[in-house]
Amino acid sequence: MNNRIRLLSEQMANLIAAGEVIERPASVVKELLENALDAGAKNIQIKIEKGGRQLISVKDDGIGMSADDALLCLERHATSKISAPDDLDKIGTLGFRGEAIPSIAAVSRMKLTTRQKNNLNGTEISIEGGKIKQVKEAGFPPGTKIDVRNLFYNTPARRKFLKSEENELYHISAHLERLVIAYPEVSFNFQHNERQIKLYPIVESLRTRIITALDSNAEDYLLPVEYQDEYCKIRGYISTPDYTKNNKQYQLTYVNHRWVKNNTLDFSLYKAYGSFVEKGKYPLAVLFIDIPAGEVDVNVHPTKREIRFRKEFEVKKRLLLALNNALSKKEVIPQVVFENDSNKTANRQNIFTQVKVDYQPGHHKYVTYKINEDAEVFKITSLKDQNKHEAYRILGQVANLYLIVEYDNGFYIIDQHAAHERVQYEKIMSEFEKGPVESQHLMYPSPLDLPTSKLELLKAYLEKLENFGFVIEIIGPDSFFIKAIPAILNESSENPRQLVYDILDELALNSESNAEKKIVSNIAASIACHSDIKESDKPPQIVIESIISALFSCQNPFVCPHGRPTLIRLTLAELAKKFKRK
Amino acid sequence: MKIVCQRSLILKAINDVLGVTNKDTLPILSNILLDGRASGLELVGTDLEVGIKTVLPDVVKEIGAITVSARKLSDIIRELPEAELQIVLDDNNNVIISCQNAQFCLNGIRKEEFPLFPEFSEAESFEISSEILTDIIKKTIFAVSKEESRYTLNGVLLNATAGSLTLVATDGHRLAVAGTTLEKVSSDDISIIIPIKALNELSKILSVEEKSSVRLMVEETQVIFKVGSTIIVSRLIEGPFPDYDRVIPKEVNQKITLSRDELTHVIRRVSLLANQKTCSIKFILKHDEMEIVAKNPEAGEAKELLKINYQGDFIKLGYNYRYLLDVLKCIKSENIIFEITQPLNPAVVRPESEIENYLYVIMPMKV
Ligand SMILES: Nc1ncnc2c1ncn2[C@@H]1O[C@H](COP(=O)(O)OP(=O)(O)OP(=O)(O)O)[C@@H](O)[C@H]1O
Ligand SMILES: [Mg+2]
Ligand SMILES: [Zn+2]
Repeated sequence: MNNRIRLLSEQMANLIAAGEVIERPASVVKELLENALDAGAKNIQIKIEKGGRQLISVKDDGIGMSADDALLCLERHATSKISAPDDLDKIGTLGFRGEAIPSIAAVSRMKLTTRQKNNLNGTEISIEGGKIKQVKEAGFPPGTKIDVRNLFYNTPARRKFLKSEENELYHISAHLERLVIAYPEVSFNFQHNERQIKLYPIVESLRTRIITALDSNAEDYLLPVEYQDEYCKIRGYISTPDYTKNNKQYQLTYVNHRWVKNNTLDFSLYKAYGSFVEKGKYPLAVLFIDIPAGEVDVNVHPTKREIRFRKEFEVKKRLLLALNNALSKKEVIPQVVFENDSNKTANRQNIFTQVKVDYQPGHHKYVTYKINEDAEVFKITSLKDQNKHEAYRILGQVANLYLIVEYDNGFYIIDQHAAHERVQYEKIMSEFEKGPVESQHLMYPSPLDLPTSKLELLKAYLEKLENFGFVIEIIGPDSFFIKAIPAILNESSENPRQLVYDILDELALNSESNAEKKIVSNIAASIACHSDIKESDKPPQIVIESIISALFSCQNPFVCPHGRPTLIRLTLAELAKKFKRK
Repeated sequence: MKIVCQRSLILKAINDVLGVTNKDTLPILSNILLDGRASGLELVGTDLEVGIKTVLPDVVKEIGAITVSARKLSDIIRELPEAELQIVLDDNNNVIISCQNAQFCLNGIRKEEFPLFPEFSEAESFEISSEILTDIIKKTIFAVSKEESRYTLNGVLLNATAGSLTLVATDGHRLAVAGTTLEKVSSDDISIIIPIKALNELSKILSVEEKSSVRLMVEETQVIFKVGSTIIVSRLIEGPFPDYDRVIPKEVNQKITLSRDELTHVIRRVSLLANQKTCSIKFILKHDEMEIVAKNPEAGEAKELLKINYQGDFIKLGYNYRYLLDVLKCIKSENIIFEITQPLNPAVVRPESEIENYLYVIMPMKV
């Protein structure tokens, strides 16, 4: 027999952030799965009944426990994973506090069955509300099974907080999914109410796991991320900028195999894609950072969800490099590629029949636009801006979407919608700079539903938000209502609540500086978005002229407020190359 | 199918249902159903939200049914001379329209492809004069929210209880309430939210109908209006309508009486220089006068003085001038009453006459 678990000393125990680990069935599932994975399991079976209220059972084929260990693991701060204070700095397992099993046992009826491979007999222990009721020998295949019944049966207050079966199941699946992604070499069999919900077989690669477990549509859009030096190793997959999701749930980051939420990682992703992804869209990303355990502090949050990097900047730098590498195997600047077939040339009106736009780095999906057959080619106008610009000529409009302008030794293809947004945006920005900000009061104040992390942020920026027209009233400690909105929003149908969420999201990314700018630019972008030129409109010539002249005098004419490009350029030199003149 | 009919007669029927045909969703929904039955020609259009059916008696010579493009059909018939025309369906689903020397052949789609007109019971809830209904719809519908995310505000609330009918609309910045008395109501109270689209179509139909009455039936998920030989069935918006009574101030500090026309003109003039993005104008109240001011750093400044009867404190109020003009347009009486409490509390605008049964609430701006 081989005993491994020790009780941590009092001093050690205090070093570890205490806290309520078990919030709901999903936390139980997560802890049990982590234990099974730490025990080296290859096949894990999860059985849930009634959303976890009735039963949560996790069975693994890992190393199992001796009879002594099985009893000891029920004690608080009993762990086989660390022993000396130094170990805390190099945690290589998912668990380390020796807290999960006793915390679960205290609030449920638990049955633990386990056997080590070289032991002939297994052990079965029944516990109720943390008290051991029975210990006996039992036949069992090598591995461990923990059944948790009637969760929170002895803490009715918490039991009352459990949500519907579907809701709890959703949270369980979310936790499961995160672990499943990190362990392609392990199979997971997930059952609910005796029905198999999901079976994740062992697969040969992370890529296959991502496609089978996370998003099968992403298959054609995954770019590998690889980076390694003495300090850390980064690997994983991200989607090309043209494949995005509507929420961040498809962005999973892991540090030393542990799924974490970390602002540095979020921010690097946001930064790397920058203007290639529209606001409100999120590329898919699964990233693993392997870094010496001493370089991260996992002991920040009781559920181990948050971590801190010792050298945040070093990590950010490397991650950005890795992401940029993955994204820019090719040129990232928008460029134009003509179709290969060059039999019909010369006719100028034909030249745009097939324009292919390729601004997806490392990726061969082309977007093809056809000319609108009856789109008239506008009368050529020559405008000269007195001081700033040299002459440009508006050549015409393609597919009611794009404007073609000759300018600066080549020509520009301008997305008229994006260009118009940019123009509106800069107008509104200057509006804000000019005078006092007016706000429109609401008949029915709109409640804000915010996570605790955002509440503090909101409180900190309450006054600044009010300076820009958002009057937000505090009704209770965590109950906020929008009472008034910037009057400038009147004519747009933007949902003010969403706007506040967006602003807070952005403030959260990098809160120290530039808060005003972020608030204003969010308001401005949301208004500009509702501007009057819709896609596939054919605005009159005079409007086109004014958009272009306004765009060319914008402070930043190159991207729309959401970060999409407003124009792409084709130079004469490039043309000459295409026509094999050089 | 064979229909023989006077041009203007069928044109009116087509126009009644045209509004709900819609080319953006399913292609079949851009069609109109022509269903020639023994009882008459039924013309049906629907966008699946709102369906309209109207019946022309005595025009069906041979029964049969087909759907054709509503736009094309109405365009063709509009251009025909005022005469008797004939619509015939051939064996290949072609619809042949002939009138004097002109002939058109339209491709049709079989009736089976067209959505079924919703079933409804005949249990009537109440009947109301079309004039009164048109009036209270007009007085409220402009305040309906256009913001799709607040879908319960995308319609008009209709409340009917013993002896009275009330319509309410709000977009969260202003609120419109208009009511009338009812002679006959079914025993149950009614409280439903009718999509703006249905009321627009109803108003359109009522505007070309001679004075008549509208019969209304409410079922769990739909409302039915019957006007003459036309039926409108609309889905209801489900969900709670905000408590509108709560936002109508019960106690007011100041009631200011103003001439509707004068105020309208002043606001129209002054707002010429208002910031056209925020639409704000200011009311500055002093002893016995009110100054209306608009300021716009780009354009300049406008102000105009109105003599009023006011003994309260000096006070500055801000409003969206468009909201004010919308309301003034709806008020019929010569004078209006403007009721205020605090600068940042809602203001009430109502007709002076006590018998008038409508009012408006406007949320202020901080300027
Ligand atoms: N499925 C399992 N197979 C083998 N050993 C297990 C298993 N589950 C738990 N153990 C043993 O029981 C000990 C206590 O588990 P517990 O989850 O309470 O603490 P931990 O994993 O060490 O730390 P944490 O509280 O951070 O999860 C573990 O250290 C491990 O030795
Ligand atoms: Mg553990
Ligand atoms: Zn944009």
